[in-house]
Amino acid sequence: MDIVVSSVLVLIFTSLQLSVVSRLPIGNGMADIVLLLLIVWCLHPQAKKFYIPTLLAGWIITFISSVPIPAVFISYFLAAILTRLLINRLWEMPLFSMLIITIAATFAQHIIYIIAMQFQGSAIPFIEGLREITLPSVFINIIFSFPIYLIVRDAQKFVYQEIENE
Amino acid sequence: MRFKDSRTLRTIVTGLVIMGVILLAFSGILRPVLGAVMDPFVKVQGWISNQFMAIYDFFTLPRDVTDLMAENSELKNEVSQLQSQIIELQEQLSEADILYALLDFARAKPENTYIAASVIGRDSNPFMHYLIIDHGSDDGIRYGMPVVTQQGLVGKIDAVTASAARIQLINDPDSSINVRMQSLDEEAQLVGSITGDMQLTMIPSDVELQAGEILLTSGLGGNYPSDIVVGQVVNVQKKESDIFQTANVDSTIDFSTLRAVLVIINFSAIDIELLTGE
Repeated sequence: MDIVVSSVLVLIFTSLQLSVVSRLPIGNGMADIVLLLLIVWCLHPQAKKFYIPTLLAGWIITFISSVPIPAVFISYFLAAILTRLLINRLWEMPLFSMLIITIAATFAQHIIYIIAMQFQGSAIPFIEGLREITLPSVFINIIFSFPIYLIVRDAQKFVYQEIENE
Repeated sequence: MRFKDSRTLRTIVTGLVIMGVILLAFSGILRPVLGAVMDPFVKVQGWISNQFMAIYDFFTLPRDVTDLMAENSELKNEVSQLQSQIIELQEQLSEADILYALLDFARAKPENTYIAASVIGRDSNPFMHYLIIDHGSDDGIRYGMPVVTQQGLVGKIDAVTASAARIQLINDPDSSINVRMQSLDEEAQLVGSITGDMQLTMIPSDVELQAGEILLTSGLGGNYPSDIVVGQVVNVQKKESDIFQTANVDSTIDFSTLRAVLVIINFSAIDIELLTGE
């Protein structure tokens, strides 16, 4: 059940990311709601099969986006694993954990993207990239993380109650 | 006779009294007396009327309110349907305007063959500038084909699937276009950046470039057909010591609101890297 729901959420969020969120930049920054979905999903202690939505999200974004293939998978898995590691220490403060991981994961994702694109031959200036793109993106991701947290947590409540009932 | 006289007298007196009362009533002198008589009657009448209307309302008004509420909700539904129809029609009108403009552009350049496509998304990578369109290889779209609108050059096809394609915009940091200055007939190179700003480079320092200069594709390099509008020079940076000057360029297209594009399908980009050995 949790695999089905998380996969459906990944599909919906990917679609929204490409058709809506990518067209709403603040400054030059852009939110990554798929990354936020993965973070919030992994925050639940029972989300042990977190690698399935992570793989699915990585596969879809790789297929559509211009980002080099390994960069997407590395950044998504890094965010997911970081979240799983952190919930063991900060399990009583999921919102605080989410904020910390959102900031860290966005920075990590952008650094991975810049390095991967530089390897690919793109002229991406590192410092300018962080200043012009990453900082506003962190800000937008923080804004988006709260509604996503509420939506995903509701879905997880339903999923994991069902599993407990079974 | 006495009897007869007394009856006549009584009739006359009665008539005079009645006439007197009528005259007094008309003159307003009897108003307080009439008020004192009529007021209780009017009050009773009002009370009965109120009670009757209350009973009448009790049986009839709820039905009317229900009817009105149903009618109101029906009208509200109708209004919301009409509003959504208006929005849909406005959307169609705006799409039709865009398509007419693209059609005009295509008619003006009959040497090219075009496929019109809708923009359905934007790449999620914030460092790059790509759009996704709803036509792919099944429609004849191939890698490297130029993409335009009636306002000018949009970019080129960067990746294709059966039913969709990705466009690399001209302001992408990996984009580099050979351009020609319309009035000066000089050539230069236009490059994009991560922020989406475009810069004109490789302009010889002796060229008297002014803000407002229109830039067109030169056709050099074989990536784009010649004479497509690319942008307009905003300001020029010139240093005495530099061999080349640079300029900031504004695109003629607002990429954030782009909804439909034309892909030139009878132009194939030439890969000159094989010749240059790069």
